[in-house]
Amino acid sequence: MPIVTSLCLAAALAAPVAQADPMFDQAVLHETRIVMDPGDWQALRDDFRSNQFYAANLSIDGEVVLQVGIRSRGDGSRSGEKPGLKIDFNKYVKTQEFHGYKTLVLDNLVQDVAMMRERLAFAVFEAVGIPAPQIAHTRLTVNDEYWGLYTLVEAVSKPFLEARIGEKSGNLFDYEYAFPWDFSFRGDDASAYVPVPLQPQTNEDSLDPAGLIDFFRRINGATEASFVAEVTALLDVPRFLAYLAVENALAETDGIAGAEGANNFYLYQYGGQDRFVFIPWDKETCLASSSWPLFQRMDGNVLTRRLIADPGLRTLYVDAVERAAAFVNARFLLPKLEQTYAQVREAALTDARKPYTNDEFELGIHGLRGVIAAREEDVLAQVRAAR
Amino acid sequence: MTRAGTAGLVPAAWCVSAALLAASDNVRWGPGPTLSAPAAGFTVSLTGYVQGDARSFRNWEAGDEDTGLLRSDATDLRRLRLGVEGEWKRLGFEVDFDPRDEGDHLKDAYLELEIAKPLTVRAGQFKLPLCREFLTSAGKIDFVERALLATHIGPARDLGVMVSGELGDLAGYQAGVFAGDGRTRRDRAGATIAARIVLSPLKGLELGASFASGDVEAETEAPGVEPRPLGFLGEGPAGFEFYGRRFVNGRRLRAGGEGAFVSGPASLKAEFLQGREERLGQGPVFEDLPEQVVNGWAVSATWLLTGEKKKRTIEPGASLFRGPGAIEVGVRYESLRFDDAGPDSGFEGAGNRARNVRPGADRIATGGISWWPAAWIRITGNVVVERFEDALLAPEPGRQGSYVTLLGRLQLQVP
Repeated sequence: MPIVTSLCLAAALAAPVAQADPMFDQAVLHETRIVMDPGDWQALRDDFRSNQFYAANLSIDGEVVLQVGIRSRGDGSRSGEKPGLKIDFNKYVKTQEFHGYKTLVLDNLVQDVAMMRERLAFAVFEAVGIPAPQIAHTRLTVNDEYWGLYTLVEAVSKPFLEARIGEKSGNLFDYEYAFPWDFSFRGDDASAYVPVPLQPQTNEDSLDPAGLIDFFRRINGATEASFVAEVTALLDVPRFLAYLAVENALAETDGIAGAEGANNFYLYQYGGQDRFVFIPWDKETCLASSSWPLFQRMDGNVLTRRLIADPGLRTLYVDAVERAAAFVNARFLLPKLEQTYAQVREAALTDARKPYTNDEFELGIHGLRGVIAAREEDVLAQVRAAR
Repeated sequence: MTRAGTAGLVPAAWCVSAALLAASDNVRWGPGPTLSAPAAGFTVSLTGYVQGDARSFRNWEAGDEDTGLLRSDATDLRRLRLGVEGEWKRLGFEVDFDPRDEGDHLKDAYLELEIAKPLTVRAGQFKLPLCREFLTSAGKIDFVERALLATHIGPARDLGVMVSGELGDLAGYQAGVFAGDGRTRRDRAGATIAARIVLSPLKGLELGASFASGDVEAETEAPGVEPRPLGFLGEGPAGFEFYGRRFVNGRRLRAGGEGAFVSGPASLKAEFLQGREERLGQGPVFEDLPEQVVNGWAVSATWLLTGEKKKRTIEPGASLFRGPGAIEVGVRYESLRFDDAGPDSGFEGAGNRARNVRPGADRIATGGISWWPAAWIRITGNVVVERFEDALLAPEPGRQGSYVTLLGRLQLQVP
């Protein structure tokens, strides 16, 4: 990799190192306990597609929080048998927070037979310098009944923004998949973007969507000659290419260049600026295969297609994938896999509500080992061919 | 009706009345903005008042509403009432308007006919006959804010027909049928009946009871639209919400008792009001939940230090520049408590579909002083001290109280 490019990438990706909150300490398997009205828990499971909140008492590793709001969450991962949960600490108790967080996610891991892909993926993002949510595994008990193996996932919200992006005054959008979208311009009407598919998470009452609309207008409307200059004004391009590179190195099927359009990200507009940054989310479907084309579906998204159409940026992207692949290999990821596997195996095997058998879980771990072991070689071969 | 439309009712009523009077002989002006033709039995008066409030919070956080904290110290133009009331022989009317009220600009707008002393019929928009504190004009209440039982259990104005009357010197009654219990309120019940009876067994003593009953229909779910809960809300006088609305559906019942004793410059009042709301089909799987119950009570005492008689309208014995005006001190202690009517078993939840509701209550002590330098000016200052039963759901979670709010009001009345 040319030294200048490396330096550019490194400088662009210098992100503050996250100080892990104890509840996201990956060295331990956490204990999360929920106590709530049994009728409410049943109702949450029966009507798992609803966003109805219920009151509950929550404890994480013995630290108790009273009267939090919990509801079913997720898109494709919603389940009545093993619900994914969103915890809202100040739903009923004004100003209540937990370690500075107002919300928390309990991911039900129903879309990942190995039950650890997202944890490994976020480790790769962090290693490359892309801030990713903190995550750790936990046993979940509801009304004294073991309900299954989950992950505690840091919500992408103001505490995350302040700690990892350096500010929190801007507009944060959660991309909620509603239809296949390739970032094509959908007109000047804000309702074409907000709240679907980009749901505001901050400044909801005072949102000015002009910058957001302008973002999509400019990445679509810029001429070939002006595109790089235009997109550089909107994005930290090396950083975004690194983001795409990590998704590609991870063989992500449902990311920015997803099979059914863009998915699984947050978009943050810096306060008072027209600059944006993408934040990764929900990486349970990555590491699907050890063989994954270097430019897989890059032509399916306006932004990615136009970026790699520029020879200089194409090179930057290829270099970024090579760098990312250095963390998707046996040296980096397999120790993490084995550590996690040892930590969660018992909890996974006794998780009676996971939608796969114990044999399938063990096979999934075995398969994941194989993907990780072979992925770097596949990437490097494609990088050589691309240069 | 648009704001312009409601605003136009008042001058229209005034002009029509003035025109009618102009056709009569012996028209008089005064006292105050009153036109009368005694021979014809016609009187029309301009009424109204303006209230400017200030509030300051002590001992608790005050900040941005988005964070769940209260607003910072504030002043606002609280009410701007303008109205016309008149009588013509046995016929009476009143029209009041308040452009400051975002909920309902049109206040009272009714006609009434006194058929006999024991029987007067009124039709239009006016207050449901429930709760002494609620029925007292905001310009005449003893403190800056009405007691919580009136503001959070009591109804509002609605369209209806009511009969009322006096039964000798001993009793009075009001009974009516209304289209709802708050014409512009989102949580409005359907057709509501309300009645009140007040007995005067002794001079200066009044004892009363009232009730109202109507049905509230829960909002239905629609694509992209989440239904909103319509149950009673628990809010303290400083505006802090200590009990959120619950989903309710079915009968909404209010019932209460009241007592007032006035002697010379002193008064003693006590009132109790209970609200009950059914929660039919409002559970998370559409099961029936126990009724929601809210109990409110208030006791208060006032004393006119300057010796005037305690009446509905205070008339200073010696107005400003000739004397101190009228000065009154008062204290009030009140409570508002929410719970459900079911057994206290299992998990107590703060959720809006909780079977076993986590109770919420606010107890408030208010001390106040009012000064009338002249009959048409009133300056009031209150110290309000709140204490919340549930420390977890208090303004500062974990601290029950005391939360102190200072309230000030300047009121100018049409003479």
